Amino acid sequence: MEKRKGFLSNRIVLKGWQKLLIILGCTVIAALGAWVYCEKIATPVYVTTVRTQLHIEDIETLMTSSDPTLTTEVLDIPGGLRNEIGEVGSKGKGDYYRYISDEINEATGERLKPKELKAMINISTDPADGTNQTVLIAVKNSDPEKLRMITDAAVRQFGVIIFGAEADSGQVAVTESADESGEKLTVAYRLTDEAAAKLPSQFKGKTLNLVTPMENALADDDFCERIALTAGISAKAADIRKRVVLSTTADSAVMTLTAAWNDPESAQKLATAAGTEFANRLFGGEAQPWQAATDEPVTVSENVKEWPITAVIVTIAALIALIVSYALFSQQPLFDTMVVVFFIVFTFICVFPFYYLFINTISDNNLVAGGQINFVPKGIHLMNYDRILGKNADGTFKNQDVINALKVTLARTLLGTALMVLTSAWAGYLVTKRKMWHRSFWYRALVITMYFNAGLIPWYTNMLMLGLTGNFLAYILPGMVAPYNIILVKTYIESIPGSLEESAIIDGASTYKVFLRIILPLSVPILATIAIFGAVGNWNSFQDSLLLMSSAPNLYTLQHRLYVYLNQTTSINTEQISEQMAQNLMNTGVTTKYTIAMITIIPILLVYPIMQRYFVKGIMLGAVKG
Amino acid sequence: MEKTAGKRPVRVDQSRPEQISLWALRIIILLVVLMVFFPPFNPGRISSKISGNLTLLTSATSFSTITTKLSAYMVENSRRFALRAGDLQQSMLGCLMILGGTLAAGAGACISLGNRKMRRIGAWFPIAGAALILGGLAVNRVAYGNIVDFIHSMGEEFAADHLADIDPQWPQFAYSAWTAGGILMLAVSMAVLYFSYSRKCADPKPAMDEKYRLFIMFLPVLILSFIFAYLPIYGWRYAFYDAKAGDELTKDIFVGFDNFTMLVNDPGFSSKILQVLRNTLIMSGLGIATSWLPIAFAILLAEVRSTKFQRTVQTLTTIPNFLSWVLVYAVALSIFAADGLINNLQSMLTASGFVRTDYLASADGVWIKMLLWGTWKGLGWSAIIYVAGIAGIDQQLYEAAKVDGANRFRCIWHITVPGLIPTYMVMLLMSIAGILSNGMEQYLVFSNPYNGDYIQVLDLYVYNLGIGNNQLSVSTVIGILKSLIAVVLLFGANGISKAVRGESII
Repeated sequence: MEKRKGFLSNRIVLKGWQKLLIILGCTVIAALGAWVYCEKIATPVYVTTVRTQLHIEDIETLMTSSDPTLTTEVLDIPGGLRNEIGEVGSKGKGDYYRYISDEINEATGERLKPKELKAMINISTDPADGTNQTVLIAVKNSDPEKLRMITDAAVRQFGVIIFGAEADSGQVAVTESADESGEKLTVAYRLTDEAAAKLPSQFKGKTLNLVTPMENALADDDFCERIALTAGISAKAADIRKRVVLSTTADSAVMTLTAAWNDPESAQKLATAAGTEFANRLFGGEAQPWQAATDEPVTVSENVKEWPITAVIVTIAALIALIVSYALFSQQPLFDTMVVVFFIVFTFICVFPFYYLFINTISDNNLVAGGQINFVPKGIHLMNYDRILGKNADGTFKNQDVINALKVTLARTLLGTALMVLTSAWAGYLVTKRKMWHRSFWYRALVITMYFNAGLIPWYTNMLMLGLTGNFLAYILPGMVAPYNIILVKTYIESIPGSLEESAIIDGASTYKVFLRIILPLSVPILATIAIFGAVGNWNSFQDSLLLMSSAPNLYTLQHRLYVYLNQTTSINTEQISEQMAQNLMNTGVTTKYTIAMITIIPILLVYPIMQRYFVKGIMLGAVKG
Repeated sequence: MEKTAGKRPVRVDQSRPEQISLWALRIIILLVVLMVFFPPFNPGRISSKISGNLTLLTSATSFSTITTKLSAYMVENSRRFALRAGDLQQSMLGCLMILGGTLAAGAGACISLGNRKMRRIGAWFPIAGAALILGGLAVNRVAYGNIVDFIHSMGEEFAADHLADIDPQWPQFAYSAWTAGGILMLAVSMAVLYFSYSRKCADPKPAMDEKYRLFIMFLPVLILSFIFAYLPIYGWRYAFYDAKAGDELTKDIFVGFDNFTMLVNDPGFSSKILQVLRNTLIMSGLGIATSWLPIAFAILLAEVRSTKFQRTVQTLTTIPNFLSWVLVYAVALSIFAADGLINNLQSMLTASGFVRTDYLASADGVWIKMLLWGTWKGLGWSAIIYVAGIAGIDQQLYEAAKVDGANRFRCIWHITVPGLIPTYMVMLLMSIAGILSNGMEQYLVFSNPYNGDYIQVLDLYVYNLGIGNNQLSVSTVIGILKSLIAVVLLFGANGISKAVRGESII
């Protein structure tokens, strides 16, 4: 390649060390400038953040208020049902339990009293469905036959009450789950959006929704100034708006107020004042103590230094100066420099998340919960790993779930990959023998399975039929025959000179001996490649564990176990949790998730350099065929 | 003696009847072996409480699967005790014997491909197998009798009340099939034995033609492939019934093609499927639209002068490819969740008391986000193929172009890109053939109540419908249609490839 011409190439010729010096010099100057600005010139702001809660006690006044922004309409099927059913034992329309009793009586002749049925059946809205369209019908009975009957009747009669006739499959989706003792069945009865929209109004209720009033309040300058006045702080409305945050869940009567100010006392006064003023605003005047009350404020973070946005701008400017200086003085065209910068950025994006995960698992958990660990680890410890992988004083593992998953995945990776490689090698070798009876037919029968997939559900029912659910063999047996790998091995073996085989056969070696002594050793490169891809595939396996192992949680793979942990406590922004619970969750939830994720990633990262060699080779070999 | 004139040795040493009986035996044994895998032929189903979807294979090997619904009645002290574990175990033993007999018969079928000496030995295997099968059937029958007797031995009133609990049921069809199979096998293998002794045997030792020997060595692989790749097609029968998991597929719930027409006629379903198809096609389409990115990545990487830099970039950017999507989701959580990196940085910069937002819990730009995650994960890896391709382009082309005065970009456009186009075409065609198969894992881990309508692709929908909502029939129907369309697309793409490039891609 010719030497490319840079901006300065004709004017100044610099030696290598001179270029390096200039670049270093620019970097140091820019960094120094940024530091000086942040530390000395810009006024540092130290902020204390305080959190408190406002409890609305007098909900009725708000619910019956004429202000439409205070309430939203929401589905309340159990509530509507209660109105429909009336008191148990009263004669009238829609006595739900009586209908169930009648139905069971018709079917079996047994007479169960409506009062008894009411004790066994519990109807509630499923909290997991935010739209309230799913109702949970839970039935308890120790006799499995009766349990089945009562549940079926309860679901049927429920449909009759809601829809006036049998609900058809387009309107509802019914899922059933039993608990371990076999004495309780819960049916999730989910209405489609259409069916829910058509429900009569008695099933719709109103719920308190303070989101809009809260947004309106903060947008009001008057309101903000009044907060400052009540707190005894002199500040403008815009400052208050910047420093006070109100948040709530959509249907709860508890609001979280967060306030920040330069010193702790002012912050606390501000938080309490915000609560008082908002309550006053809601109740149109002075709110009485029995209508709403504000808790004692709790300090979230004290004297945290706030970074002005200008610091970020200066840092970015320094980076750009660095890039431009590199371009000017390295005698490379700007395009080349941009390309290098692009690759550095992209590689950084690829690698940084793992670094971030890692430092969050080895740093002090409280700092992690406070969101302080972003680039540098602080308070290094290995307690998190010990909590997941370590043993208790009595010798049992602290986290048996993860240890089981680790064992299963390790066993699967070693055993499954070994068997897969052996099978692929053996099959690949046999397929090269032209003498095999109808060789091309059987080969095609094998290869066609790569292109045609019977489907997920048929595969699942097949596994059920074979009895492989909840069975470790389900991880090994299906993976043994991998047509793509067999093709790779076949292509590779065909490139081995046939004379080697022939001379061995003339010497009287059997097929097995030829395979073991000659073919296997020569095929190590391709076998290593498929072994690595197979091992990574086994280590990362998630779908088969998800589908097949619901009855055997101790056979979950590591990825599946990680998935279970990741979904346990997700932090959706409007979740309402108490301060203490939040701290607990953060201390155990987030770091646990990160630690388990790290445990899953670290083996791959460790083996990675060794694997690297075989990748490109593998791609080349695969590309030759495909 | 086998004549060696000509290419194929002519088997004159087998008389016509012998040939016929050998092939008849092999076919019978094949059918008997197949019976092991299909539920209607399960003689171990001696109670209606044993799932009708179990095969003989499971009945012979997995006691826990047999007793899922019966275990409540096997507890000795409880008032519901109506079934002794020993009886069921005896039944299982019978099934095991049948299975063992089938294996012996299978071995016999393989051995029958050898020379006369081998066939003389091998003919005993199916005989022994048939004996085991018939014996196993008898043991199972005895076990059944024991179970019925036991219930009756507890008193007539008890029996009347609790017979329905256990509901013993004689699997007549399966029994007839296995008895017929066993007897036929016995008869024909006796004939084979007779024929194998009917001529003189000049073979010094048992041996087999190489072509059959190789086939038998290959047979286990074929069997595994059959069990896990072809047998699932039997699961398509669910599409013609109205079934949930654990249901027996009886005539009552046979609906024929109703499920298929329901997909089109029922407004609820058809609108949902259209929505799911929209999601699938858009996300596949976005992937195809950005499929040139790996080429650009590879070309740019090749332009960097330092090979060390190239190697490092390649190594590091391929790391995300080796993570599972669950790990990618963990990474996404660590960065974008309410307690993640982005929120941390934002709260450091803006007013304290900043409300943290969970960027993952939204429906905005789901498709773009999925595309970006897919790119992050796959770009480095896909580029490797093209990097290898660029290294394979003849350097003389570049030198000739330089002589003609081409600058760097013209070189790239006129030499490098055309050199990579063949590989790219293959990738593109394969992507188009797989346009409906987005995979499930990526979309499962990222789905949450907020983005469900946008993220649910066809594979995920089939999973949610079939496993989550327990609607096996409808999800099987959708799966069938998807498989068929995928095959059509594949052959279409292959045809295009043949027409345009002259080569096929499969």
